[in-house]
Amino acid sequence: MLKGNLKVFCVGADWFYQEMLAQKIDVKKVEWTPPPEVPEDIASILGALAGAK
Amino acid sequence: MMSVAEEEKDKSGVSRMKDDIEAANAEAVDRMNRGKAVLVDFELAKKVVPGMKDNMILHAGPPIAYKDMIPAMKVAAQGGLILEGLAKTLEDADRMCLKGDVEFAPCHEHSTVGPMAGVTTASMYVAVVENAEFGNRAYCNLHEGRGKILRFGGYDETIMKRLRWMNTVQGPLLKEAVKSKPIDLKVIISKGITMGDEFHQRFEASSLLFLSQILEPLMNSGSKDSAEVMKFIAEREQYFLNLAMPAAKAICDPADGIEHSTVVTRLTRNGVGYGIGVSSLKGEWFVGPAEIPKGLYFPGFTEKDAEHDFGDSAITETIGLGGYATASAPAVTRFIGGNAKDAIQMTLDGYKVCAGVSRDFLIPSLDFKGAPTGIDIIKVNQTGLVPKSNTGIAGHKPGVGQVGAGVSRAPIEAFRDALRAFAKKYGV
Repeated sequence: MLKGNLKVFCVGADWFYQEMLAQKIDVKKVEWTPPPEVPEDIASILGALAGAK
Repeated sequence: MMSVAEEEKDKSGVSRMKDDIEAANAEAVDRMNRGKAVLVDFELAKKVVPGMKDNMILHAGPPIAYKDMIPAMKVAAQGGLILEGLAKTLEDADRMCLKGDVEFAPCHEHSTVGPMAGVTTASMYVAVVENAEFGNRAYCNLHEGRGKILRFGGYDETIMKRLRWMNTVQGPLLKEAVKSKPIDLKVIISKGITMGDEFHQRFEASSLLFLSQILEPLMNSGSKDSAEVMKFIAEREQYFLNLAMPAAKAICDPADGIEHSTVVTRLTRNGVGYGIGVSSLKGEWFVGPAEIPKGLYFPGFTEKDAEHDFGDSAITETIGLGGYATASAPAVTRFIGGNAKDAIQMTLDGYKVCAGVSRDFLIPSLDFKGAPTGIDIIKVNQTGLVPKSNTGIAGHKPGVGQVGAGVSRAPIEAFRDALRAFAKKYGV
């Protein structure tokens, strides 16, 4: 089992989080939102606008 | 293939563009922060609303033809024509509209905003809000209340009687009261936000603050009707909605038309489409589908009874109120669903997509940080965090009125189209 200084960030189902706690793993549950699916042309514009500096 | 010199030039061009956008967006937020919102008058729409005509109906949201309107907006328009004396029955009014005898236009294109259906006709009294810093004015019809009312598509004799009283008794009395004492709405909003209002759904504090300001001139008017007007305002906890909206419009309009700015200056829905406007793309509408809000329903109603989202009230979100100020109003979640943590999260999400913060609208639960202000279409596209509004839910069936309240989201499609138009205009 994972031990030591490793910090685990759990973004999965609650049962998985509880299981990790039961295993005494240093775990923190975090909210996670998947990145939006961006159409190719929008990604291209955003890339261009972010392209400098 | 690009030469090194061309690449450098290209890079500096993009760099300049980034600087230009940042500077333009800072200017947009600064104009919103400097903006004033003073209630200076109540007057008939035909006397003050720019371009208003006797046979004109202003409606909420982006442009829409009568035949395509949702039932609630159609009934509100029909009721408006009956109020004007241009039709005797809903059926008469429907025929007039279909025949093309009535001119329809979005409120926003006439410096006006209207909650829900937004229907504003020539002889309705409107609040006149002035932004003296930039010399512009904004207008909004008077607040009817909640439940079965015209703006939610309600129609019966009680509703019409109330509207006639508002236009013949309440409006003139408020006009006299404000003439002797203009009211600074921005001050009321600044106070209200520290007292638990978020200014799209919850107006408990601000409505009473407004009443406290108007009380003395109404009492001194000598009119036998002043007590009835005071009672009317006191009984409607959302009375300030129809004042916060033109305040937001008056504050937001000067931020429109700034070259390179990607800040949103209009957010509004007509029940079919959800339209946005962007500062540097002044006058253009970008429209995606309006959704059915997620929320809580009055007893006897469910989501099956709900209509798609409509109303100009999302103007409040453009200046950092409403959804973006929900952290200041955890109590609103008892009405729209969710919990206090959700309320704070709505505001925190706002900081991820806004170009700046409000100088005046300070949120106590966030250690008096300014509310997120100036929605940036670039950031919305980057994060997918579209604006959310705390809004009323109307019934789908004509004549029912309000059936609940909840949260609605702006469609990402509108923000994508706006970004495409921006890229085309500036050669990105």
